[in-house]
Amino acid sequence: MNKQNFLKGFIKENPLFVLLLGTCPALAVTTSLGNALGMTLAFTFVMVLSNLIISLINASAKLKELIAPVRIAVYIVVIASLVTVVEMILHAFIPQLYESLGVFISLITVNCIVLGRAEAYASQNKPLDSVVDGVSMGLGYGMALVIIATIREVIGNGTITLWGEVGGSLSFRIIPEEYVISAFTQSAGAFLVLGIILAIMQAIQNSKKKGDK
Amino acid sequence: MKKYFVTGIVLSVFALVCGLLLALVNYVTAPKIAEATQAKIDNSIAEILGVDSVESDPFVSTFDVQTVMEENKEADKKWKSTSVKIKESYKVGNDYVFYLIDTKGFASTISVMIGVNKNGSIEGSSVISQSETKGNVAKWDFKVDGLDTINSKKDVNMLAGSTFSSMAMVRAYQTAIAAAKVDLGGNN
Repeated sequence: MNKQNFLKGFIKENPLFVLLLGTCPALAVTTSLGNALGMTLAFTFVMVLSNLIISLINASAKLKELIAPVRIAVYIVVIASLVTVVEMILHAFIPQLYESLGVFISLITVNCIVLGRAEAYASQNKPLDSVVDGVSMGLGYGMALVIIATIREVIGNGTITLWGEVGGSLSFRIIPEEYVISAFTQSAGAFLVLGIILAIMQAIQNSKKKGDK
Repeated sequence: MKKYFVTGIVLSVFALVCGLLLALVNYVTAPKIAEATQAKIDNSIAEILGVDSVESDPFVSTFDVQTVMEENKEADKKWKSTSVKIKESYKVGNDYVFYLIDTKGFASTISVMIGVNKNGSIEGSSVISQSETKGNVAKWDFKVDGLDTINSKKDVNMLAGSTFSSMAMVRAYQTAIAAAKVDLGGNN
């Protein structure tokens, strides 16, 4: 375990901003900050546990050899089960968030980041390193969701919602209703915000390269 | 051959372990989910009745929607394209019966909770979910409270240009009124 392993998911290998994985739920659930935080929790939970379990499975040479022909199927069974667990827990204990995130909780199963890290990292590294990788990728993805959601909610709705419904007790108005641009809460706004962020990141990367030369 | 057999066994073992885990989580969460669902229904009913809280009892309606649809096919051609389904039924004491009805609109299935009182007239209703064409239906606030017969889309007070959505609502109200006559056991 090292600092580099933990920090890579935030900037250098950010799943959304750099690897461009998991864009569909990122565009769909970022209508409010509360949704983004909820998705971050659910996603990080699945990411960490799937990385841990898959790393433990592969820690045994015998088991690794045994599952080799069906390893992707095994990984998907593990990931789908974890996602279903998250879904049932949210439905039972945080129904508001469950309804708000809707089908995108189930879709974590087919999120390329989870399966990608399982195959590329967890299956080849020690359990502890895999857990750190899961935390890094989960929080890195969450950070990206939070950035997009904050921009979209503030400009599109004029509020910041820390938890629950927009307009609820933990939702604070910071821009008067008459000045909001509601298109930002629609899909077009999501694409626009993501596009601008990617352009800024690319510009920073390009200027860094020029500086190196 | 042996290799494929072993692989199948390995996959089955993983599926079994995951299945057991899910069964365990379901055992813990299922009662909570049922409780939350019931609370949501009760809130929706309380809102229609205009009271703070209410306790409803789910029951299985003996009303056969298909029979009524068949009976009305010839008399009313509009029933031909009808698709109405009573999803859930609830009683509040012996005075009210509530139906969660799915009715096919123009672009979506409209889910509506309709309450009927013991006199056989509509106590109130609330559209739970719909994805009809935006703009066509400007309001989902129907002036049907107190009516015991609904014959046309004029009765549900929807705007012109939303024939399918309006007829879907007419069918839902007609179904609720007819079902209440059966389920409230001749009180009306």
